[in-house]
Formats: sequence, C-alpha cells, structure tokens
Amino acid sequence: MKSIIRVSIAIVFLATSFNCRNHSTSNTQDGNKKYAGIVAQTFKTGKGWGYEVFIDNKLFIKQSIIPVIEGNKAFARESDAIKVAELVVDKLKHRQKPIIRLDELQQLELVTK
Amino acid sequence: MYRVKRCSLMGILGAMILIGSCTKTDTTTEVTGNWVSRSDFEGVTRSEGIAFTINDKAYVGSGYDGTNRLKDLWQYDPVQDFWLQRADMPGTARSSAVSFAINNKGYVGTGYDGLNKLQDFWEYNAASNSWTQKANFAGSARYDAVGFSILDKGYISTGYDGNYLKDIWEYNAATDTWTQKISMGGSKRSGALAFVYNNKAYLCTGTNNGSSTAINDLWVFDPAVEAGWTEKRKISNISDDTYDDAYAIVRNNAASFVMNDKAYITCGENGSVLSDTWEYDFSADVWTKKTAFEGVARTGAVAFSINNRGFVLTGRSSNTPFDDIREFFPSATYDVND
Repeated sequence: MKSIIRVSIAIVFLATSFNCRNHSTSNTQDGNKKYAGIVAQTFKTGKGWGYEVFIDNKLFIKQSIIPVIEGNKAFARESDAIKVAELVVDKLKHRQKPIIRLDELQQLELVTK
Repeated sequence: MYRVKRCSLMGILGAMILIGSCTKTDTTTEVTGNWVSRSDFEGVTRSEGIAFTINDKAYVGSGYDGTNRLKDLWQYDPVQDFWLQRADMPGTARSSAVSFAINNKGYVGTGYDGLNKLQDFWEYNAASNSWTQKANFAGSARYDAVGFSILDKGYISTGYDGNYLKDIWEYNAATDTWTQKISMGGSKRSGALAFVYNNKAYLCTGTNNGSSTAINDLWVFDPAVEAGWTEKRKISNISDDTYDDAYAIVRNNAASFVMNDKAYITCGENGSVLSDTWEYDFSADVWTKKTAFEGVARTGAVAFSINNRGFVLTGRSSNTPFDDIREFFPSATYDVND
C-alpha cells in the first residue's frame, strides 16, 4: 500500500515538476485529519537554490533564502537545499513546528559562497 | 464563494440598534462573518508572539511554543498564502514582546525570557533581512505591554514590570530616542490591545491582578494632541441603553486588527479561553458581535491586517495542535466547511 502511494505521488510530481525534483513524501493520518502528503521540492533561484514544502498539494513554505541567518543568501548547492527541506519535512511529519534553528543549520554543514 | 450580505441590510440593522437604544427594547441582530482557514496545519503556531507588516507582507516571530521561548521570524505572503523563515531575532528568545513598523522597518522589544523581564529593543530591515540593536526601551523592563505606530513614531504602553502599568513612551526612529508622554487616564493593565485607526490608537481590555472584568474602559491616544488621551464609552454592559446589553468584550491577551474602517477583537481569555469576535464601529462607538473564531479557542494569538484583509494566527489553548492561520470575512455568511 505504501509503495502504491509513493508511486502515485511520484507520478504526480513527474507530471507537475519539470526541472525540480521531489525529495520527500509522507502519508500521515492523525485523528480527524488526513493529509495527502508532506512534500518538498527544490527550485532554482537567481543566485542558487531554494525549496518549497507542500502539504496536501498546497504550498506551505517557499524558502528562497537560507533560513535563520541574516542576509538574502540562496543555497549554494541543490543538495544543501535538500538537506534543510528534508529536515523541515521530518519535523512536520513528527507534528513539530517547521522552525529551523541555528544549531541545526550548522550541523547540516551547508556550503556558503 | 462567499455570499456577501447586502450593505443596506447591515445599515438597516445598525439603524435599528441606534433607534432602539432610546427605547430599551430588545433588538436581535443576526451575527455575521466567516473565518476561512488558509493553511490548515499546525505551521508556525505559537502564543505570545509578535507581528508587524511591511509592504504587503506580514512578519511573525518570537513567542512561546508551550515548551520553549522562540526567536525565529517568519514572513507571510497573504496573496500566495505561504511562509518564508527569515533571520532569527538576536538577543534572548522571548515571549510577550511588542512590535510595530515604522518606515518599512520592524521594531521588536521588551518581553519575557522565562526568567527576566526585558528592556532591549531591535530593528528589523526586511530588505536586507538583518537586525540591528537600538536604544533600550526607556521605560521599565516589562512584558505583556502594547506596541503600535502612528505615522513615523512608535509607542509602547501598559504591561507588567512586577506592577501593572499605564505609562506610554514614544520612540523616534530617526534619532533612536525614547520620550515619555502623558500616561493613560484609565486602569493600569497588562495583556491589553491597541489598534490604530486614522492616526489614533485605541487601547482597551487587559488584566489587572488576575481580573479582566474591571478593565472595561476604552481610551483613544492621539499623539497630535498634547493631552494625548480621551475616553470612549465603556465596553461592558453598564448603561441604561440597549446598545451594550450583549457586550461581553472584556478579556485578557486577545487579538485585534483593523480593516475596512472597523476594528475586530477576537480570542483571548476571561476565566476560560475565548473565541468570540467583536466588531468596533469607530464613528458610532458601538460594538457588534460577529461570528466566533472558528479555529480552536485560544489566547495569546497574533493578528494583523494587510490591505483590508484581517488574519488571526497562532495562540494556545488546552488543546493542541492548532491550525495555522485564519482570515476573517466580516460581511460573509458563516460557512462551517471552510
């Protein structure tokens, strides 16, 4: 069943995202609320990479700059954006707030230009 | 789609209330308004957070998540309905701070870090996504104050520093200085509301020694007038007229916003956590009950309005999780399904 959901979500994203990649999906059911999925994908900005987080196919976070730190820096590498996006998705899946903290950002050892 | 009630109907109802006020007859008014969930997930919820608006975007930050005090800052885009996490606020994580915006900069100060009442004061530049420490608030360190801006000045008033307060201080961003102004004539309080309309601030509700019931005054602060403050009609049922018969407005730690020439108060607590919503007509000095907040009743919520759209988000109640943010359509018919 899980694999069917994964496949179906993957198909949706193959159909909707061209240059962007779908990195993380989940299917959670919590009490009265059922979520189709928490999904992250990267996008290219003028200066690097950002990520988007969708809940039930609805855009929830669009992170065009690195969170937490000052300045308007994009992620230098797509893999950096993926690392942070996956952390956000993981938090949401565990019913935590999607807040990234400075210590978490430092642990991910992002490349800064 | 929202079925918008005809303005003429509202006008007639309003006229009926005004006419009825002379005769003390019961007037039944249909409660209108609809709360629409915009991002139905726990999201960036928190209580006792701050919010300010710059250039059609809202900024929400700090506060308390039930375990920890926070220092994060989020930008909300009301048009596309998404969030973007921005630079953390420097200084200690805090709740019950105040905030306002002047000249496209956000200002955050005072509050509580769990141990200490705070006095520091910070400026946020949204364009550069950076924070700068400014002159400490010149009044006493405090939390649960109110902050607002009028034209190019900021104001911090009331709050709790170990005692309940009613002093007011003006911040001049150009000179980075604080000046004390004449204190409000009403009750000392914390957890009050201040909302701004036509370059005047309206201050009401709050608590003193654990009671909100006695805090039933509404004061207007006009910085253009030397005396500053004038009082409006009480916000509880104390008159012989009918206009206030149903008033149940007094409360602590509520949320307010202004849109389309009306102010709205919702949520908060008064013995229990509240969700009822009240609309204030500035010209008539009359409050009308609207559809209750449709999310979980909560206290310590944050509200803001952008381009005459009002939003309430975050807060706490005995139940978790909360949904994230709701927009209020005051003229729309209540729809349980959105």
